[in-house]
Amino acid sequence: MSINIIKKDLRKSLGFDLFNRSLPLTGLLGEPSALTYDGEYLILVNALGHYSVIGTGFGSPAYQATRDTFSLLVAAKCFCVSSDVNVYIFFLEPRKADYTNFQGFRHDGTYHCFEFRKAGAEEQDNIADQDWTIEHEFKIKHQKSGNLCQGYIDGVLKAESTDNTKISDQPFCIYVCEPNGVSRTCKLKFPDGIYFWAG
Amino acid sequence: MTVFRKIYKVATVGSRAEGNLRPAWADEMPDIMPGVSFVVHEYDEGEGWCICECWVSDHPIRNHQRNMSDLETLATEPCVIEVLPSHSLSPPILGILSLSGGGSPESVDLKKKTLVFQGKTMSFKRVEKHRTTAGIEEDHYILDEG
Repeated sequence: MSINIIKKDLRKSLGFDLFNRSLPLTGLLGEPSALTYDGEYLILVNALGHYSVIGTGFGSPAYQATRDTFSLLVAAKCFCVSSDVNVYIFFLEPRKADYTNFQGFRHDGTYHCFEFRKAGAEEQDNIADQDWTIEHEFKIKHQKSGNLCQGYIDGVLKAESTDNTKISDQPFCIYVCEPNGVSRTCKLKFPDGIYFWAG
Repeated sequence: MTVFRKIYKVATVGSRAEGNLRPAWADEMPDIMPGVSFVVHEYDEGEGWCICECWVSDHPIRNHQRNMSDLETLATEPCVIEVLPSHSLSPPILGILSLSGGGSPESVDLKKKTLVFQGKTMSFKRVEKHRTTAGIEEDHYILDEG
């Protein structure tokens, strides 16, 4: 008698696939902001006047991939605990605070939107009927060629730009849950954390 | 300078379960008509359509300056089911073009409301202050919106 082990299924049942697609994370925290874990979510409590965020680093597979001609597909499930006004919920930047090349979802104080920026030139697409105080899966598909950038929420495309003066071609780090200087709590589902989307 | 908008009922491809439900023209739009941006207001996955509001601008900041005639041409695409006059989720402002960041405009004339960016002189509507993701306050030139 022999036992046939299908390695792919074994890996899946042990959860390896889940972790393989997850990207290594770091917390960039302004004191006294805090990052904790409750077994389901990474919880970022941002202090007033600080710009704390959870994100990937320069050495992450996503950053390395976008140094070449890779089309980036990344996602995260997250939400704001109370208000979602002014929050940068899920976005790409070459490094934290390089806002001139920002691509991602934010609330600008009036609108939920997707912003596309390159060298300071910006396009903003406003998305109606949003509530980011409940959990959503945010996803960005970005072509390094600069010809296409798409923002998905919960598996459906919400906003797209094809103007390549607004779509940055930088290598990117990926960030979630930045409350933009406001005292606020945001949560990132973990696992997966920030992950490559295979769709 | 004007932002031009049009609302289309468009056939969809993909599925919500696979995480890629989208208008049929989404991935091909850079080849169909580069310079078009859009927001999707509503999906009916069962019937296979969505309500997609496209916008373009004739402002020189755009790599492809377009106007209403381009949006009318877009209505002839095979995936377009019909053109709609309005939609309940269509926001008052759908698209905004702006410019900010350290040194992005090469020069600014606040009296004439013009600036120079990458060698091109262009008009702007107003200046606002905004904060970057690092909290740094900077001038934010609104070029076009609508």
